[in-house]
Amino acid sequence: MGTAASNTASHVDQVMMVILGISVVLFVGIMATMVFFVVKYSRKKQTSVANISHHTGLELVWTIIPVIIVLVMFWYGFVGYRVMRTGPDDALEVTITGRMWSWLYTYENGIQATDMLRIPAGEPVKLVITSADVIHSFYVPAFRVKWDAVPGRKTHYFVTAEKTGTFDVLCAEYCGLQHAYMLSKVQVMPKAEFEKWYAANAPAQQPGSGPAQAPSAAAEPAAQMASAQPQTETAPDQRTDGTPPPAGTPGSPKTASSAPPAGKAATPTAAPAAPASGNSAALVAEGEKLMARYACSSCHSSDGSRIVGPTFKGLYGSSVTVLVDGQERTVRADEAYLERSIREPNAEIVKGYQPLMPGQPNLTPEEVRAMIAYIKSLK
Amino acid sequence: MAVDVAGRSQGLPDYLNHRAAYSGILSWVLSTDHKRIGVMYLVSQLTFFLVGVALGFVMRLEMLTPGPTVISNPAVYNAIFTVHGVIMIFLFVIPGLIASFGNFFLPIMIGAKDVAFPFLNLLSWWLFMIGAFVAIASLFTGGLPDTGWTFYVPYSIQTNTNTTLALFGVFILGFSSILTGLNFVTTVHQMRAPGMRWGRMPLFVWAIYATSWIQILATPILGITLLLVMLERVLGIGVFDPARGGDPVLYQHLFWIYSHPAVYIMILPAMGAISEIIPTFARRTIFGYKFIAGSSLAIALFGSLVWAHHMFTAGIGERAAVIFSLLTFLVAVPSAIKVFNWVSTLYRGSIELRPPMLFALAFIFLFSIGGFTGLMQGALALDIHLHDTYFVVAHFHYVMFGGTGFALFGALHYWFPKMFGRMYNEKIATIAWALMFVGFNVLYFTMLLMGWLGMPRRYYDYLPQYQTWHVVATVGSWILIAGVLLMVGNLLVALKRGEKAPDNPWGGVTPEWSTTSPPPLENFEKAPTFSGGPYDFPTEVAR
Repeated sequence: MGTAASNTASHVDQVMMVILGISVVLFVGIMATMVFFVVKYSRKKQTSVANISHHTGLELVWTIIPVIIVLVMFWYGFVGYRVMRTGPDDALEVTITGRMWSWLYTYENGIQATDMLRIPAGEPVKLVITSADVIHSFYVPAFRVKWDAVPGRKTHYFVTAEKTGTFDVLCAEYCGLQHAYMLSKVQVMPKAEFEKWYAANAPAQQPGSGPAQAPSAAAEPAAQMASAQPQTETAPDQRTDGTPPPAGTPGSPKTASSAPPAGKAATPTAAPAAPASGNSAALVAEGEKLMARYACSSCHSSDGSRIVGPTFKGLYGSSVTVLVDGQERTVRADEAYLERSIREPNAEIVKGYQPLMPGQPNLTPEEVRAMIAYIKSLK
Repeated sequence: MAVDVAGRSQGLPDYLNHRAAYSGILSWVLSTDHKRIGVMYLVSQLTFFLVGVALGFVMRLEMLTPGPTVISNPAVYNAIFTVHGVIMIFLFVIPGLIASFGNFFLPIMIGAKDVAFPFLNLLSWWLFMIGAFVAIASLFTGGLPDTGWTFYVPYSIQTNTNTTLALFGVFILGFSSILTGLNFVTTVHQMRAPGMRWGRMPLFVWAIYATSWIQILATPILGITLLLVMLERVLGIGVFDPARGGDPVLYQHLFWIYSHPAVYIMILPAMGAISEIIPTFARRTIFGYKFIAGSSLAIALFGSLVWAHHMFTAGIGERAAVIFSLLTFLVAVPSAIKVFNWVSTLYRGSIELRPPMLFALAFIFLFSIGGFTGLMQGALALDIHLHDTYFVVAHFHYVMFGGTGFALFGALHYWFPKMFGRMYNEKIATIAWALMFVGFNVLYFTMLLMGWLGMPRRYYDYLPQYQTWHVVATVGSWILIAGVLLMVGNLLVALKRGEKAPDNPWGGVTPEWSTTSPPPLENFEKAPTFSGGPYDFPTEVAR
């Protein structure tokens, strides 16, 4: 049996043991009776038969007893379900957004992360689950719970983690090409440690964005700000330890790793792409890594072949026919176009393709720059 | 059952040798004889089954190691499980025993010359083949459909693969199913021979009758639902797509309002065949005739009210979840009643373990595991863990393959001598049965365990901790497929070179055993009359 790391897991395991126990007894009983009859009344030993047509008493017994048994099973399942559905109003809430093909975790204080969901041990957490594109299902086997991420809806469940440690997160509802790779982790931290992390990573308030910015709405404004404003010192702070450094060292104290690129990004100020550094091999390599971790390369090939989206090969500098609100338009694939297409892919759809790509409003300018450098390198 | 077939003549040509208006292949594809149509369904279904098996074999091979094993692109794997599902569900188990053996034996078992509407019956088969052709054509004309056989929105609306054509194929198949149901219900009501009262109908006929009602009532819902998805893809009407104000969960409701009762379309005729095989090989009357017949109707009724148990994790209302869980548990009871009655039929019988009986006993074993694992998923809390894992996949293979599949093979071995007038090699059939039974459990019981450990379904790749189990399951698939091939080969050889079968090789008493093997064109030379119960066996069996 897999690790049971939460209150929900112990309830589910208990329901399983009850139903499994009853089932094994009944199954073995039925099979033993069947085999016994087959042996005892074999044609080799028995040539006279009793044509017993029915026995109403027996029929009643094996109707009523199973009804009682299944009602008991139903009750256990119902009780365990209630555990998942009920929790205090003031529980810590994390919004989980599924998108092809990664998970975005948004906390009430604005922290956002994709590689690791951090929650405290020993206290109820409300996981609110939704989707940005198609249906996914947020599944943590160690909690024995999955809940579907349905676009246009919010589903939720409560969980109290009981074991600290890191556990697998899987997508359980088929969602297309990279379904099997829509993986993440959940880290259950001791409460004090979690609180320290939670406070230390709260994004700084945006000047002018108002103090009461709703955490769930944070993604959109942040995106607009990131692309519309020249980079300021605050932009890198939008990134948190969750959106991991390209090297992907989960759990490393974040600010340290995201600060240096931020410094670099700030230097060329208003011009998002500095041609000189844009082509450096390191930046291209970083861009390639980012493309892999955001699963871009699952849909966009680097060798000219068509997958789900247009290929990157020879894209930079080419003329692209796009549809804007149904109108055809020809644009040049320059850096501004590439950045728009990464952040808001559905505003201009390349003719002949579907509006499938999840927007990436939370990428830092530096990440986008690296991605563009990578695309430029594919001539 | 006492059957009076006055003036029966052995000289009448059987349906296989009857001179029809056409010859060659046309004498089949333009025949309105229910027996020829039944054989055509059987041959087409088994062909599709073997294609589905081949796809399943490739899937299991891919699962042998984490990372790419034999398929380099996940898109191909996704297409393979989609096509495996579409073929096995819509072209093999839904037509299942009803289209093949139902067509062949329903009229004979009630003493009729044919079904009520023979021409409509031929049209059903043509629609079946056209639907199958369109669904398969979708593979070769545009991107490989990659939605899974469930076509869940909004993915099925957004994917730019050839899903519209695949949907249209299934849409056509639905009409075939509806027309067959209509035909059979009318046949049972109108065509019974003198003396064939409702209470004297063989249990296979009762099962077909209950199933036909589900086909008539539930299939139109699938048709409309798939039509809406097609319209959504082509016109963007916005019924299901949340980006256009639609609701993806509505799709799931509509889809399962058909597709859960469809599970009973698949299993009820299988249960009917088991109810024929067991009394014949125990040489005694069936135990609890009325309860088995009644439980078929109860399953048809309750089975229509449990669809949302496929959606406990989809964010449906808590009250709905609780009600559907309760109803799901209750629908298990009539199935359990059948199992108890079958086992009781063995009591004080005179049991002979020949291939059809072995398949029937294997059916009880495998279907029971399918039933108990179904209870586990009916429990709300437990389903939240097990849903969309290998546990579900294994559960429905236990029910659909271990249940319907094994019953279909049992029925095939039971009725083969009657249908084709030849016997097969029973020893080889027994070896094939044993291989299939062992391979099946190695494959699917392992998948139950993997599901409990959290292995999600429809995964091209998996985390390394599951590998040992995947290797065991894949080896199981090889044993299972070896058994399937041996069984099919044995029957093909028997078709050509089998010994001539007697009219009643097993000592059965239902009406089909009182006509010749194979039966003549209109089944009996003169309309038979019936008296007594359907399973009245003599109390002494000649050794």
